[in-house]
Amino acid sequence: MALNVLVVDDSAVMRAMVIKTLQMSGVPLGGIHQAGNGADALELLQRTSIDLIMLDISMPVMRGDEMLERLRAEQVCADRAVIVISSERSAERIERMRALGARFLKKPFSPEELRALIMDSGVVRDELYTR
Amino acid sequence: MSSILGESLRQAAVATFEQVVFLLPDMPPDERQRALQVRAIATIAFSGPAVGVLQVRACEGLLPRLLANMMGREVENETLQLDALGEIANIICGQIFPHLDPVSAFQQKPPQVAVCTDGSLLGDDIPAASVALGLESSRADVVLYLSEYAAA
Repeated sequence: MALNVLVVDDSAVMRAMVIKTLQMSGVPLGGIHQAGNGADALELLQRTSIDLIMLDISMPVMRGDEMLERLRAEQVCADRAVIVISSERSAERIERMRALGARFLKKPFSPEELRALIMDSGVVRDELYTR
Repeated sequence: MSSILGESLRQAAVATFEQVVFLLPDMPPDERQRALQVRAIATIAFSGPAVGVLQVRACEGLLPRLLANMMGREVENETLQLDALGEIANIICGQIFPHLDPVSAFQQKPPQVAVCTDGSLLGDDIPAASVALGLESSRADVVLYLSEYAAA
C-alpha cells in the first residue's frame, strides 16, 4: 500500500529534506503533499486523502500542536497517523504530543529512524518487518 | 560566560553542522576564516525556563554551501539559502534547550533571518555563550544571549 503523505513545515528547505528522507527510507510512497502552516494543512486535509502527516511544531499562523489538537477534534480525519518532527526535545512537549496520539521524531533524523517509526505506527504493513 | 553553557553550545552547533549540513567544523577557525565578514544572521527568540535569543551568523560563502548540502543539489536561490540558515538555527536551539532545563518546555519563535551588510545587526550585548566554527572556506558564529535564566 503506497502512502499519501502530507509534510507540514514552514521551512521549504526542511520540507525538501523530509521528503528526501522519506524517499530514502524505502517506505512505499504515493502522493506527497506540502503545507507551510497548520491552517493550510487542515484545509488540505479536507479535500485530499492523506495516510500520514509529518508535522513540525514551531510554525507561524498555526502551530503544529494546535493543528494536532484541532485534527483530533475533527470527525473526518481524527485518526490520521501523525509523526511530529521537531527540534524541540522537552519531555513535557513530547508527552503532550503523545497524548494526542502522535509519534515523535527529533531533528536531525536518519531514513532508518523514520522508516522504523512509520512501520511502528501500523500505517504500512511490511511482511518483512519484525519487532 | 559559563564554560558549561559554552561547551553545551559548542556540542549542539558541531553536531548540527555535522549531521544536517555534513560539514566538519574547524575549531578554532583559522586566520583566513576569522577574517571573514558576517553576511546573514538567523535569530530565534525563546522564552520559558530561560528567556533569550540564539543567533547563527553566516559568513561570506557559507549560505550556498549550506543549502546545497541540505538539499543534495546546487540551488541558486537566496530565499532558500536564508531559509536553510534559519533551519540550522532552529535545530541548534532545540539541542541547547535541554542543557538549560531538561524537563520544562520552551516557547520558540520562528527564526528571523536577515542579510547583514554592515555589521549593524550584530549589537554589542555580552553573550552568555558563543562559539565560532570554521566551515571549509567560511565560518559560522553561534551566539546565545540570555536575559533571564536561573541556572539549575
